[in-house]
Amino acid sequence: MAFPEPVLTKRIPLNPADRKKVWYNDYVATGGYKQLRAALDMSGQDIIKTVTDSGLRGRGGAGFSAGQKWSFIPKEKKTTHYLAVNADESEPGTFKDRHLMEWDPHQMLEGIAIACLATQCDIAYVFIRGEFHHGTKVVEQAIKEAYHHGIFGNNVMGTGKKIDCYVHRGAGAYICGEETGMLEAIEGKRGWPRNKPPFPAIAGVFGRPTVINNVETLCCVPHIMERGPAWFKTMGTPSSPGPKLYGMSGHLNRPGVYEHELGITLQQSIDMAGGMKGGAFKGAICGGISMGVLAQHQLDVKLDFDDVRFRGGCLGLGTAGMIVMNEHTNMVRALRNCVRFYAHESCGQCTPCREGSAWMKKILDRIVDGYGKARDLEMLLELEKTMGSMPGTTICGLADGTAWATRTFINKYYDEFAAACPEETTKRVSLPISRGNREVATPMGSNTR
Amino acid sequence: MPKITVDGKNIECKDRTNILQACLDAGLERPYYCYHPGLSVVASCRICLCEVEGIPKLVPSCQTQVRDGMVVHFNSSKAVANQKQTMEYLLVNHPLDCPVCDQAGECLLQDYSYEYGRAQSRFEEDKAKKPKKDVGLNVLLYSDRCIMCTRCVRFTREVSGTSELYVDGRGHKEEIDIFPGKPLNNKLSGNVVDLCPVGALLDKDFLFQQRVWLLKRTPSISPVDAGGENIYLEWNDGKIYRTKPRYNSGVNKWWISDDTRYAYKAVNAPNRLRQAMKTELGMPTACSFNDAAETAVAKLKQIVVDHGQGSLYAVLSPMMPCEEAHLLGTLIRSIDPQATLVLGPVPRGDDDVFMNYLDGSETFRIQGEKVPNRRGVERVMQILGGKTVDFATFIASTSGATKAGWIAGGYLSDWIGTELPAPLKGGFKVVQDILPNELTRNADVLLPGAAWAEKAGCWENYQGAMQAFDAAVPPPEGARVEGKVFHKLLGRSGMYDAAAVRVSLGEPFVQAVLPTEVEMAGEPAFEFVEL
Amino acid sequence: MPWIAEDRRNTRVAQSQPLLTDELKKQIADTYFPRYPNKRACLLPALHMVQHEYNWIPPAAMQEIAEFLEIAPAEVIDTATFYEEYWLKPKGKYLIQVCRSLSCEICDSRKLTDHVCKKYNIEVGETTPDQRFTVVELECLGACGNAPVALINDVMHEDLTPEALDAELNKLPDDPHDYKDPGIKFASGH
Repeated sequence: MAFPEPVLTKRIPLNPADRKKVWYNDYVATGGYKQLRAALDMSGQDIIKTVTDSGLRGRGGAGFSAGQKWSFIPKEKKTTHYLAVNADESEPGTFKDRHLMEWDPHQMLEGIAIACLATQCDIAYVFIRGEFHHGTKVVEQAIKEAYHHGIFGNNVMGTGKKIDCYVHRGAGAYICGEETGMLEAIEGKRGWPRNKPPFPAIAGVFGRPTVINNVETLCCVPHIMERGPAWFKTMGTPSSPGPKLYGMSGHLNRPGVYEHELGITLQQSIDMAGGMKGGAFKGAICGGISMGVLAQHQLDVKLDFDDVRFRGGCLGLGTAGMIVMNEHTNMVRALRNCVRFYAHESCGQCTPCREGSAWMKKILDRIVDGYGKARDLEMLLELEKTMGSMPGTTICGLADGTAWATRTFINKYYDEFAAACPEETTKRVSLPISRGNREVATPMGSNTR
Repeated sequence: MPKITVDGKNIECKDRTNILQACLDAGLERPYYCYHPGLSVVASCRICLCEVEGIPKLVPSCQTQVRDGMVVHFNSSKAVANQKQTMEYLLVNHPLDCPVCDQAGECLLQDYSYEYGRAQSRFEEDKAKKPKKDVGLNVLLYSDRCIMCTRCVRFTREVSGTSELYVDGRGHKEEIDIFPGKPLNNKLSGNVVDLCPVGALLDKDFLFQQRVWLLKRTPSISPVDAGGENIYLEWNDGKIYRTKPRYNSGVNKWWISDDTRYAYKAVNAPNRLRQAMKTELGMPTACSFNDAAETAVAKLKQIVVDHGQGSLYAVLSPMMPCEEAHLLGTLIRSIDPQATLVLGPVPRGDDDVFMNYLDGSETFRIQGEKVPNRRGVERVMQILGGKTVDFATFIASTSGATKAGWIAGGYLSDWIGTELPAPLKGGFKVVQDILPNELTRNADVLLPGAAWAEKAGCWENYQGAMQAFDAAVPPPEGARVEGKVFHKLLGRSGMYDAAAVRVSLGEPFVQAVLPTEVEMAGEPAFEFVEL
Repeated sequence: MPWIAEDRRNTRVAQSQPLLTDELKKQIADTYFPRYPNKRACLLPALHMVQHEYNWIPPAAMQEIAEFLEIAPAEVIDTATFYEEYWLKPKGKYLIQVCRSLSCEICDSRKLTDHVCKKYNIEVGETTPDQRFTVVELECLGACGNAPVALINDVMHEDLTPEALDAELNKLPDDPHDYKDPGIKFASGH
């Protein structure tokens, strides 16, 4: 396993001062759109096979095999197919897609065009979050260029194929990053995630088969087409191959977006970003705040889709947006921030997420204000297990974020939380809350803390 | 027919149905808020989650289709834990103002708290406060009691198709609301109150009127149009307090129009006729009911003797049950075999058609024919044979052949106007009606009648469905059920019994049967417990 | 009924001249109608456009959008209230949005908010009496690597300190339309 040179960021220098936007001419001059040309001569199935063989896993958080996702789209085309590009990057700690879109938009557009060919999509919607004013303008300009040069339109590169690509701006709702929430937003409705089945591959946006991919995933596609699945697998780990953008933020000397292969350790990633600033390492959010936190003793956890989960005790790698915190960080406040985010962004459809996250935020507000009680922690740990798509109590995975952030923060920094929540001196009559290791049934199964 | 096992019970279910509906069909009560068989499935309340063997996580039973051999648990530890937790969550911001809430007693929050919830909340923070809103002519919204099941929003989109209600905001700040100045005023608006599983949407008409556990209910039929919507009349102490829809898959499904819902007000009207009258020495004089009725028959007989056969007529109102129409026809023909039978006026308007806002399919139709039993009365007149005319022809006739008649009204509003039509102006008139109008003021004999809610009978709706209804409350003192009067005047023995008359009439009248106690108990999610 | 806090039924929507002008309608019809299979899907772009024009979305405009897109007004407001970026009440000429999410909070974003609030003597969510500034805190702006960050209207400012933000605010032109993103230069193209 080795990572000799940047792949996705090969046109974006590491030093911000050297960066220049890559417009169409620059992109073509550095070998751009050659893979689209090649893909036009391939069958859709061949493209899908190449991507499947590469083992590319979705970079949007869930890590689902991209090629497999494409293969769910009906082979026989009966109606319009859509591609929805998820550029609604709004999870705290995640800012890689913005980096790709703002500096090298054509790389994404080439990926979009190839994906459209593979899955016979007619129209691609790039769903960009509303706050990315700059990114939206850049992508819109790039699409304009692409239309002008026959990348999109009725006659893709002179072959008579038809692909359209449009920007659809979001308007400030994190839940629209959830794939079906995004589809609702494209349809002009409130972004309430849909129940599955039907899955988007069968009935997605406007009730038609829809592919949904993250920006970074699509950016990988031209490179896989160019250099083949075998090359792709030389990077990363066997289960999580390929390059990955790491969004390094927090208490670091040189925070920013760094590209490396999947599977580097947490320590390596911190070193990559210039090391800790202002104090020793205390903890790191490992992939957007929904994934949970890695503690001091977990610096050797490998950042890939599996090790973070199995050894790191987190939900997963997510988007690899790291928020690194130094020893002076107050973890209670950090958790309050995370839970406040989820309480604020809950779409309000499912009861556990709507009421539970707001309740947890109220408890944490009280703890931060200095009125914590010992049973608050037990309460939080019990509530946390009642929500999320993993126990099945919510439609989408937003509440899993609340759950995993709470679970990992409290368990890994229990002493700090306990100090903020002293034992009460006067007893109050109240229902027993699960304490200690007593087995208490929750929708997640029994309480296993 | 797939067979599934729910909590150890084997049930057989329809194809392509969901687990929850299969349970409800089989009479197993399982908790649910957002699900409604007449609306789309959103699976957002999350209390109906169940464990299906072979699936690691809980699944929403309202959204999961049944498969043959499925083993479902609503009482596994995971499912029960979720029920408890969901109940606690729903009550976190609920004001718990049951003592002043109209829904108390038929509230799913109360029922499920008792059955699935905890006795006590562990919520120690401040509750969120949300405003009360006036959202429609008939509907009030108490946002703080709302549990965001969105049944009402889906109703306005998918059934009434008017899309007035919407969800405002998101997350825990959500509220149901209307666009400012665009109230919920459609003709089906009252249904959102029935749909609301908690006390958030309230009927202004029923607000603070009666505790629901005091109400008894009687199956009935809508009197306002030819649709024949199935309803329950809910009453206490001889007074009707509200109307609720009664499910009938072939007629009105789960819904009723607002006209039907508030039709009972005519029954409670303060100006109902209560005093029998007869004309003595040219002056209307109060007398006993029996005296008036006997006077009427004697006078009619005298007129036939004086003017010969064919001088009598009877107006059979399309508000009458078929049984009574038949009895009145028989009565008048027993006095004068050549008597004319006149079908009472049938007011007509346009049909109100409701379409699904999302796909444009027709969901509900309020009939333009504003009487419940035109078809039934016509059928009765056909059976009786002889000379039959409709009201328009009758009042247009100038022959002056008819000298006297028996006029049955029973309409819920003024039906005759300020000027009497010529054939009704002169001559001897026996008028049987419930509300005062020009005709009752000019009657030679006035017999106060009973409204539909006060008697049993059957009506035939526009589709030809013969539907029975029962008496909910007694007629006001002084008024009598028409059927009983005719029964007595015909000299028949025993008590008047509408069902017996139906049997004697044969098909298709015998098709009209009242729902049994068992059918009624199985229908809504709540039953009334005698305390 | 005195216990009713809000009479939504008789609330009147003030309406003088059409807000959704023919020009705006044409723009929506030309740009967005061809992109989607139905008109409803143009709702988000239409709302963005109205907000861009009037700096907020008045109820009358929502009514006109509903009419134009052939949907019920409640559907429009249903969607509009879900998204935070749509302002359904008037806001200042300059909207200062400070990120409060984790990366920014641990990099002292609170100081930025405090500074702005103190500078204009308003609370978070309020507008200055001269209708010039509105300050809000919002969740992640997607620039965690350059925390703390703030958006002033459409322009993102990264690696801020209270002093740097102060300097930016003092530089703002009188007319917000003159305030453009300095980072956008379209080198190639047309």
